[in-house]
Order: sequence, then structure tokens, then C-alpha cells
Amino acid sequence: MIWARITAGGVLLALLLIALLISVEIIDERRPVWERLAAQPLYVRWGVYYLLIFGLIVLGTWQGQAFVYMQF
Amino acid sequence: MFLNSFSFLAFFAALAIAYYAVPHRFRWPLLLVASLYFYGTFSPSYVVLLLAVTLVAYWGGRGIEASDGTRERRALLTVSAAAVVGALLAFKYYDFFATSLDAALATAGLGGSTPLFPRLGLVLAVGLSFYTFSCVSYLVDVYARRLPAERHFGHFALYVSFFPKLLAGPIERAEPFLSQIRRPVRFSAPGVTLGLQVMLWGLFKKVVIADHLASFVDAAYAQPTFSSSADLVLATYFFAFQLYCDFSGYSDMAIGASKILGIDLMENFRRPYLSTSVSDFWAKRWHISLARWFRDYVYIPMGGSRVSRIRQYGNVLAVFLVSGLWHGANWTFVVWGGVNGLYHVLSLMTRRARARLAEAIAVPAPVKTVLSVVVTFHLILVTWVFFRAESLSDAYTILGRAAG
Repeated sequence: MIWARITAGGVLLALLLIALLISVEIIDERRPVWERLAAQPLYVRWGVYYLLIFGLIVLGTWQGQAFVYMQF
Repeated sequence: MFLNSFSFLAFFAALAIAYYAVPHRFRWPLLLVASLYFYGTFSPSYVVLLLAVTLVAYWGGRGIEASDGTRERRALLTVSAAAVVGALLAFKYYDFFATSLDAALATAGLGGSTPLFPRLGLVLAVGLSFYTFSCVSYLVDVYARRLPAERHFGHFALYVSFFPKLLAGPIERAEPFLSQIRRPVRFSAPGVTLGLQVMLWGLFKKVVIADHLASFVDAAYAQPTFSSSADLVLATYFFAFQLYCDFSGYSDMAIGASKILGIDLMENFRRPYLSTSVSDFWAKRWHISLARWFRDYVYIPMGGSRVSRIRQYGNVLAVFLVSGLWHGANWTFVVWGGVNGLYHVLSLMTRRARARLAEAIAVPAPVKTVLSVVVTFHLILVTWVFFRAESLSDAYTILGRAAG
């Protein structure tokens, strides 16, 4: 029942994205992610860029959603 | 033109190429024209308001610097800051206060059939809350002689209108910004790379994470009485991350775009949900540029922590209430600020007791950190309900159903 709810309608994706965010922040807390990335070989760096760009294209919302803080 | 649109990405790419192609002396005019054009895409009338506020702050600063007498300086500061803040008050709060006052009069049995205070129906110009704060900080800094008044009108106008930060900050201080646009920028490959990386991550946080979470949050919060308790709880957790990704995504795009142009803006977020206390969250990690603005231009002038304890608590509460109201003309934001203020006061009151308790309980440091992070996150989570709900009654419904 719970599993059905989680996998339905993108909740699982939402949870995975939050997990990704928290992981990046925990890694960043000790040493900036960009510094760590700069120390990596070329294929790792470009692998990360392509993954992010791929994520933007496949999962991104491109209907020009306004930013929350622009209303303030 | 939103930062998360293809038109902005195209505009920015063209601008960045032109920026590095022209000599230093043409760069500030290029950035200024680009910034005004960018703002004009929302509404040309906004540009007029922006220039009017800029002119007032520019002449205010020059006037304060040119006058010797304390009384004269103070009068000039008061007039120019009141004009700048007055624009914000009129556009953002006038109708809210008019409606609230009429409602209060009606409750007291004093109201007539027609409202006593006419409504102006002004539309809040996007970014006004942010650039008016930049102008006020500049005026106060000139008044306090921390900063010479800027003579170059073009540089000053660029400080106020610089497009990456215009719509939603970071609320930059004048000195670091002006000193950067004065000196020639050389193209730096590592700087541009870092700027692109930060922009990419910011864009990802906004269009992938925040916008995906928003659909759940919007659905549950639209009609809380018809949403299940489980949906409301899930939506509130999602909103915490939606808001963070939305706003820090914007800030990252602003900081990254600026970095590509060789200009460093201040940090606005520092992993806020890893805060180990509410004061850690507010003082060092969430919307840092606004928190510092309130600290330097409201809290410290009120006496800050150099007053009696009771006054200090009052100051903290007042700052949080005003900061709540800054977010929007709605009682939900006032309560949101008030609850955060209460947290802060309670943490000040219990500081010693908590330190003693922490010493008495033998818990390994990592466990303590994780516990603090989880507790802090949930304290903040409760306040987000007020931040997101359409009305106070909605917020109470959501909290009641989530608790039951």
C-alpha cells in the first residue's frame, strides 16, 4: 500500500532528488564540491556535467515557472 | 525574462561574449543597459521606478556626504531613506494596511458601509523589496562614514540594477560591488568554469528539484481540508526542499552568472538544513544577505545584545516580525516571523541549561550533531507551514491535521 503510493505519480523521484540534494550538501559541508570536482580526472568532471545536463533536459520543467522569492 | 528560461540563457551568453570583447571602459555601460533591458522585459514602467529610486539614493548619498552638521546629515538620511522605503511601503503594503485597518474598525463597530481607506491596487514591482534594501544600506553606510558617497552615477545605477541580483538578491553591499566594477576584469578560465558550474547546479535545483516538488505541494496546499493528513505532511516536507532549491537555485544562478562576468556576489545560502540550531540556521546559513541586512541596519541600531536581557528579547522579536512582513503583506508571514523570533528568544533563554544538559548526557558527538540537525530541521519545518499556507486558517488546519 505504502510502496504503491511512493512509486505512484513521481513521489519516488521526488524522494530520490531530495536524497541527491542532501548527499551533495553533506559532501559539500566538509569540503566544497567544486574543489573536489576540480581534483577529479577529466572524464569524471564531464561525466557529472553531462549527468546534470541530461537531468535538466529529461526532468526539467521549462514552462518558465516563476521563482518563489520574486513575489517578495 | 526569468533566469530559468532559454531566452535568459541566450541573452546572458550574448552579453558575456560582448562583455569580454569590449574594453573595460565600455563594460559598465554595457552591463547597465543590459540590466535595464532585462528589467524592462517585465514591464517598462518598472524601469522608471528603478531609476527614480536610484536617483533618490544617489542624491541622498551625495547630499549626506556634502553636509557637515549632524542634524543636517540626519535629516537628509531620513528624507532619502524614507522616500526609498516609502516606495516599497506604498507598492507592497498600503492595500494590506488599508484592508486590515478597515477590518479592525468594522470589528470595533466604527466602520461604515464604504471603506475608510481607499485601495490603490498597485502592483508590486518585482525586485523592489531587494533593491530598496540595497539603497538603504548604502545611505546608512554613507551616513555612518563607513563608505564615501559614489560620485559616478553610472556605477551607482549599476550597483542598484545589476541584473543577476536585481530580482531576488543577494542583497549586496555597495562597497564590495563598486570596488569590483571599478577595476578592470580579465578573462579567467577557472573563474568562468566555476561560474558555469554554479549556474548549472542552481538551474538543476530550480527546474528539476524545486519545480518537481512544487506540483505535490501546490496540490495539497490548494485545498487543505480536502487533502489527506499524509499528503499534507508529505507536502510540507517537500515544500521545505522546494523553497530551498527554488531560492538557493536562483541565488546560485545569480552568483554564477556574476562570477562569469568577473564580479563576486556574496554567499546567500550555506547548506541550511544541516544547521545544528535555529540561530545557526538564521545567523549563518539561510538567506544570509537578508539576515545580515536586518542585523546591521535594524537589530544593532536598536541596541542589539548590548541592552538589558528583556530589551534584547524584544529586539529579536521585533526584527523577526519585520523580516516576516518583508516577505509579503500577509499575516501568515508575520506569524512565520513571530514563531522564528520566539524560537530565537527561547534558545537565548535556555542557552545555559541546554549546555549543561548536553554535558550531563554522555552522547557521542556525531550522534549529538545528527540529533541537533534533525530537531532544528523539524522546528523550521513547522514554520514553513505558515510561510506556504494561503491564510492563517489554512495553516492551522494543516498543522491540526498533520498533528492528528
